[in-house]
Amino acid sequence: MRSLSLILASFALAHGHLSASTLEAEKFLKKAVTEVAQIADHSQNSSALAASVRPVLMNVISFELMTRRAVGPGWREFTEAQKKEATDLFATLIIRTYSSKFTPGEFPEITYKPAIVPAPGRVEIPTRILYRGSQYEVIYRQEDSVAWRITDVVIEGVSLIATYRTQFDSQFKQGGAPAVISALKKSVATPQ
Amino acid sequence: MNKALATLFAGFMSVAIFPCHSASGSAAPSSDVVIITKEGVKSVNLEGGRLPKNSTDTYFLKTAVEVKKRPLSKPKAAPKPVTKSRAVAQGDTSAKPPSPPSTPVPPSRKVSGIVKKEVQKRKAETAKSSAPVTASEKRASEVSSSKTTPNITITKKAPGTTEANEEFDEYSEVASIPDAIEPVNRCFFWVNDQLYCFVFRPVSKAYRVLPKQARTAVSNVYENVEFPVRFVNDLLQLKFKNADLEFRKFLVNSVAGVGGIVRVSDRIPALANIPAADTGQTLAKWGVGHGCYIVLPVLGPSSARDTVGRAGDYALNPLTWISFGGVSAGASVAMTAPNAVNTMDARIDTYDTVTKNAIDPYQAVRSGYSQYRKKAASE
Repeated sequence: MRSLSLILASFALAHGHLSASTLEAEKFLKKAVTEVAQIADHSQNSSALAASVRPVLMNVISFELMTRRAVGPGWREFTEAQKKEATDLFATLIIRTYSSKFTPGEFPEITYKPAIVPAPGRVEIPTRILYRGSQYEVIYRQEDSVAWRITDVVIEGVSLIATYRTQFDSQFKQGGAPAVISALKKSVATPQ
Repeated sequence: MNKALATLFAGFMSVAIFPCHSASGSAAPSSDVVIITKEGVKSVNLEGGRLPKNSTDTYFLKTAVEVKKRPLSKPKAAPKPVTKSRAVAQGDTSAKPPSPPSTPVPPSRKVSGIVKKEVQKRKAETAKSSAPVTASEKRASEVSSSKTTPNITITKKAPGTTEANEEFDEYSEVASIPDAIEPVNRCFFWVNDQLYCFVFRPVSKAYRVLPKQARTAVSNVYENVEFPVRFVNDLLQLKFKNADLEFRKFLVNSVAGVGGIVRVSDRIPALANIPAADTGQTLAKWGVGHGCYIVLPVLGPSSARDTVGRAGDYALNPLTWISFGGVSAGASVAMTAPNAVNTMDARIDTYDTVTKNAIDPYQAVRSGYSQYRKKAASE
């Protein structure tokens, strides 16, 4: 009886901890998305928007994790300098991709759905976004490493990281880390 | 010239319709080179007669590691050492373990021993690693060379994961559709890209001159007209609840929404977000595989299955019935053109989002399409 109550108590504690953690992740996401949407609403044009949201996104997205996952197992072949360069370049691409979805002067209507906890320290928050007359199902994947950070965005079933992974895989097979960095530089340098 | 084009098109269509088996291009013939994995010995496909670049696996010649056709068995127990008591009983006071057999071990046994050792090592490494490791992250340890092990590739990598907190590589198995006709697809992708740039984009820009409410009304009307496509496919997929909801949505929008101009159903929570069904999704539910990835001229990414699905959607669309029902060509174009322009407008946004910041736009679109259709099939 005593062991049963101990088990129940530890379960409740763990569940409570997870719930508190999930609430924290949800709160973090809502704050981040609202902040970015407000910046987008007041922006003059797309370039200004990308520049304005960059500082915010640097704090809410874990670009190092995103880059590591997008590159895949080949990441361990990168030197520290290459890792840093790849992360910086990939961050620029992600910020551009994400900010290009917003039109200056238009505020999306976001409905948050119950969070899903696929594993400890990970949360997926599904949302429905009504923007410019169209509805989109967007899932924000977050992880709690040092603090909660967004590690992937899945729009209508299409994962940002998975899409880049297929592209980086072929680049890596052709020429390893230098080929990946070269491809990133080329993509960043392409005029918008 | 016409004959050559017809032959090319026939070849393209035959490959597109029938299931394709390889991911890209023709498969290289199996070689005499093998690698040893946890599951056993696996043949390596050499590309252009060369070992894969940047690979960290250890390779062996097939002939060197040929094992008799039996499952890899547990290693034989070492002969029991002679204990003191046994030695005394046997009248041998030295208590030394019996010396190994003097007869030389046949080469095939020696080699199968190497294979077993390798497999056991891999199993032990997998068991030791902190997190589950996918096939893409496994690395072979260096195998000590022996007279029977040829020197093909020597790479030493630490087994298992290298990052302290590396988790299971969830992106190692991304949804993908085999792309057996990639060169042809890339050609049509380029053609579509030019069409988007020089035809669709200017038309879309002109279309956006219309007020937003007008464009929304056009979109709503055509979405309402396409009700039979969603309704029939819901029934075919045995999603009777969704079929019922689609029917109610159609009624509400047609009556209260004046022929669908106003999407009144958006204000009713039960009718607001019904997952759309299409014929390609129905075929997926019935177990039909994608077949090959195909880039259709003008229409964009598709697969063999989804191309057939598009034909089904076209057949179920009431506008098609009207077009074939004796209406003049001009009237038919007048009815379908606004929908085409409206669809094009929505597609350009999606196309730009996917390709603008891509490393390889073709691969980005293919990956995005594969993932999108996988999600649709799972709904």
